[in-house]
Amino acid sequence: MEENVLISKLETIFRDVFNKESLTITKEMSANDLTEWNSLNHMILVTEVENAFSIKFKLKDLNKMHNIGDMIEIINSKL
Amino acid sequence: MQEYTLREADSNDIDFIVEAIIEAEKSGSDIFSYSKVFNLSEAELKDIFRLMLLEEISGCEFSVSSYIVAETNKGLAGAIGAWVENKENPSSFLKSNLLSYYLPKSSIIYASNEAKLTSELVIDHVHGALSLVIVYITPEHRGKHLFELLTNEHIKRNTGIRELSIQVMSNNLYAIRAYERYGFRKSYVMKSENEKLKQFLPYNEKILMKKSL
Repeated sequence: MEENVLISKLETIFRDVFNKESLTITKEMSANDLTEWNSLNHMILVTEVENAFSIKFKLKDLNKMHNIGDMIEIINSKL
Repeated sequence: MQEYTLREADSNDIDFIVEAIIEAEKSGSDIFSYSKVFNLSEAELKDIFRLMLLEEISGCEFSVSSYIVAETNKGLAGAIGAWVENKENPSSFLKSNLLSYYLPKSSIIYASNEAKLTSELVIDHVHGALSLVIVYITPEHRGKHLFELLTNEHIKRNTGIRELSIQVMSNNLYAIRAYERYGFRKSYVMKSENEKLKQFLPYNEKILMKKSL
C-alpha cells in the first residue's frame, strides 16, 4: 500500500477513536502529544487498526510502537 | 512472632500473583474493574492474566519480576508489585499492549462503547519514583507489618530511589491508614462526579500518596 494511502486510512481511524474530526497525524506523533491517547484508547486504536487492515500485531510489534511512524512501518511489513 | 521469608517472585507464584492483582483491583469491594470494563468473568480473566504474566514484559503489574512475595512454611502470605516508572515505556501502555493482544476483540469493543469513562480516574505513575502498584496481604496475615517488610525489600533492591508513590481508592481506609503509618502522605486527589463510574470501579475517587526517602 502506498504510504500516503496508508496514512490517510490511519488518520481516519485516529480521528474516529479520539473523536477529533480535524486531527492531522504525523509520523513523529506519539501518545505524549495527544491527551486522548490514553491506555484504554490505545487498546481501541490497536483493535481498530487490526480490523481496518485485516492484520494481527504480535506482542513484540506492539511493544516496539513508540510513535505513528513505527506503527506505519509495522503495518506495511504485514500487508 | 511469625517468621516471613521475603524473595523475588518466580513463575511458580503466578496463581498467587493473579489473586493479588484481582484483590488489589477490588480494593476491598466486590467490584472487579477488569470484569466490568471488559465484560468477562473473573475465571476468564484469570486465564488471560496467567498468559499475560508468562510473557514477562517487565515494568508493569503483569510481570512476575515486578513482585516480591512473603512466604511462611504454610505458603504465601503477601505480595507487592512495584517498579520504577520508565518514561520511554510507560507501564500503562505495556499493560494495554498485553491486554490488546490477549483479550477477545469483542471485549475491547465493549469497553470502547461502555467504559471509556473509566479513563477519568487514571493518574499517571510518577516518573523516577518507585511505584507500589499491586499490594496484597492475605486476610490472615494482615496487621503483621507485611506491607512494611515487603516495601523495605523493594527499596533495598532499587538503590538510589528517592521517592515512593502509591495510588489508592479513597474508600479503602484500612489501606490508607497502613500507608500513612509507613510515612506516605496524600499528594493528589482525582475525583469523578460521574456516578456511573461506580458500575466499573470500586469508587469514584482515587488518591496519589508519596513518601520521600
